[in-house]
Amino acid sequence: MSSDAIVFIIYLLALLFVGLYFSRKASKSADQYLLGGRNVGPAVTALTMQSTSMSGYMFMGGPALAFQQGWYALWYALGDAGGAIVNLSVLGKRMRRMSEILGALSPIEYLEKRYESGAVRIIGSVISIIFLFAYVFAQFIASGKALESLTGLPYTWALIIGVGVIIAYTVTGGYLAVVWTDFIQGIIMVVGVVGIAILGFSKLGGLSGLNERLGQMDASYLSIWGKDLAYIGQWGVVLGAVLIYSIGYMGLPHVVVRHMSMKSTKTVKSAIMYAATWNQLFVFAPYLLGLMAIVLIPNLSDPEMVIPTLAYEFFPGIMAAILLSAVMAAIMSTSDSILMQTGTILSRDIYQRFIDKNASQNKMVLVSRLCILAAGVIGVIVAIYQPPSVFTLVIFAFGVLGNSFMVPYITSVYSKKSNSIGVLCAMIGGGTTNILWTSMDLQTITAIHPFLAGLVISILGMVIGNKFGSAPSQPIQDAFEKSKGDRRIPRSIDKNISRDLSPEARNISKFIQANQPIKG
Amino acid sequence: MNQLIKANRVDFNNEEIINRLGKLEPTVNFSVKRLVYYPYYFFEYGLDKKSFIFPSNGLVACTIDLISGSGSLIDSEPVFEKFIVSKMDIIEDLVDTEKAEKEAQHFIFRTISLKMKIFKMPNINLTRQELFYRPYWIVQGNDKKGTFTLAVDGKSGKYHSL
Repeated sequence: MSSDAIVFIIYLLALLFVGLYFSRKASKSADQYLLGGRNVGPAVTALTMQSTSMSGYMFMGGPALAFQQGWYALWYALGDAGGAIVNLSVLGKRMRRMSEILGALSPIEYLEKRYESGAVRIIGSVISIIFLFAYVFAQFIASGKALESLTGLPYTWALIIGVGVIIAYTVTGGYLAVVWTDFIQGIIMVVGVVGIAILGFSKLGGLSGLNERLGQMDASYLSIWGKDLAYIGQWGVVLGAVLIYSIGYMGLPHVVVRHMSMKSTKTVKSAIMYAATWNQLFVFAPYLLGLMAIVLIPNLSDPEMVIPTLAYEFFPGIMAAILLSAVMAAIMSTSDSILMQTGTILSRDIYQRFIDKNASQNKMVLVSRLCILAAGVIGVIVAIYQPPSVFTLVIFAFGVLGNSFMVPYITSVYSKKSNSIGVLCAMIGGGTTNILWTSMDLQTITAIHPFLAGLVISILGMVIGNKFGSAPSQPIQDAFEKSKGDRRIPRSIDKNISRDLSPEARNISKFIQANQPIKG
Repeated sequence: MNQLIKANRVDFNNEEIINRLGKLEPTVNFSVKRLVYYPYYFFEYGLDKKSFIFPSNGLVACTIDLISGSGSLIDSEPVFEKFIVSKMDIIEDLVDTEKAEKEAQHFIFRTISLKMKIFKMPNINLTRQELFYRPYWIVQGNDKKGTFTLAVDGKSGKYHSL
């Protein structure tokens, strides 16, 4: 066994030890475990959020694209960084208000309630689950690659072991995922990646030095149109690249568990601000490392190995192994949460609702865990026999999710008359177009990115479909008006509203208006 | 007419509330109008899952909002005290105990299924249940644009517009 593999095993054992220590400490009440340690302060919470959002894509897919296409790859980063802001400020507010009014806990439930249709929920869930599994498959491939470079095992074996570890971790263990282990991982990864970037830039003479060297090698690396100007003038491709990350996440099933604080919270927690800042800083780093690799390791055979190779290039072996172990653990953590959520959605929204309405709690857990196991087996088979690149798979999954859900979400708060038929047409039309466009490689013929093609069809689907459906009910139309917000409330006050108090606020409002106990 | 109720103690008094809101938006003149009491049911369950990780069978607890019927996980063992308050300030509950208990079980199972790494759902047994009220301040804000109203949680200090 190589010394790096030993480092990896020791790393996992150390995480297990930390996880066990804190889990046992909190074992007096399972609440502590279920709440995931909410009382740890904003900085720890922020880094924890950051570490779970760092997926295999960040460490393998992003740098690989930059290594292959040069500065063009930054379009994707731009969508990720800028898109989130646009999303939060333009769409986010109205959607948040609307989802509060409707009392929806997940984006799919939101669509069902807004468009008053069970079919919307079924189709939304199916699309969401299939493409989330595709996203997890990308994590599987990344885990195989990370383990391959750590252990020196052949890819197939590394993959089987990697996925085996992830599945075992998700279904039975999971105790590594307590807040402190995520925090430690977050620090290692941020320090590791920033360390590589600093050492790389000092070797290349900063950003201008990097650009100069890139220009000497091939000027088209500096272009926004890709290497050899492959996408010159193809605004359809660029627009798709920018839009994909800003929207795709909406298909993710955020299943929220409502909390109620039993202690007074006299300090203002600002974890989300910290995390947002981290994200903005971090989103560009992997791409920049990909650019550095063009100069520093031009003969790299597998572009997705940019970060592992650079880590071994700049750091002593043991440090590089620790960084890669943290990457592997982050992949486990990301896969774990998505697998758990999709497993639960499958068992509750599909199995219990349509197959066995009286399923016992135990049967539901079993179904959910079996789905996760099945996803693991299918993932291994796909990754061994037809391994797509991490980048291709993530972009495909996010693209289909975005094409299926973007238009329905926007119209839910900007078009009062949009209805369930329009939404079904938009979801099915948009998603299917992206799948066909990608699988038939229509981008080469049309110079239009699959995401943009899907978007156009989705919009058309919504416009045409709306003509055939019936208008939303009066309560939904009222909710639509309310979601525009109360302009009398100053922004600083509105910004700090605790959304989880929404049901209480609604009922207190009725009580105050009636000035007597509310009835019915 | 007054009534004896069990409730959370008010941790943020009206001065603190005005102070905090005033710091967020100094241009608004805030005034506390009244204190109302919102009904919840507290349920605590023993979790039959003795293992290496949970050496002493854990506890899990939640509250059910007795108007909307929605559940919330709570972050520490609550302390309720007895208060005599005016009936006019108590919001009447709409969810009965039986329904609330059913919802609490459903909520706990859903949360465990989502968050705990288990193959088999642990048995849960009810160890404590209590009707309680939570105090909310009704605060009015006035500025050039007009008037708006907030409900401020007297326990946590969190608020929402009305």
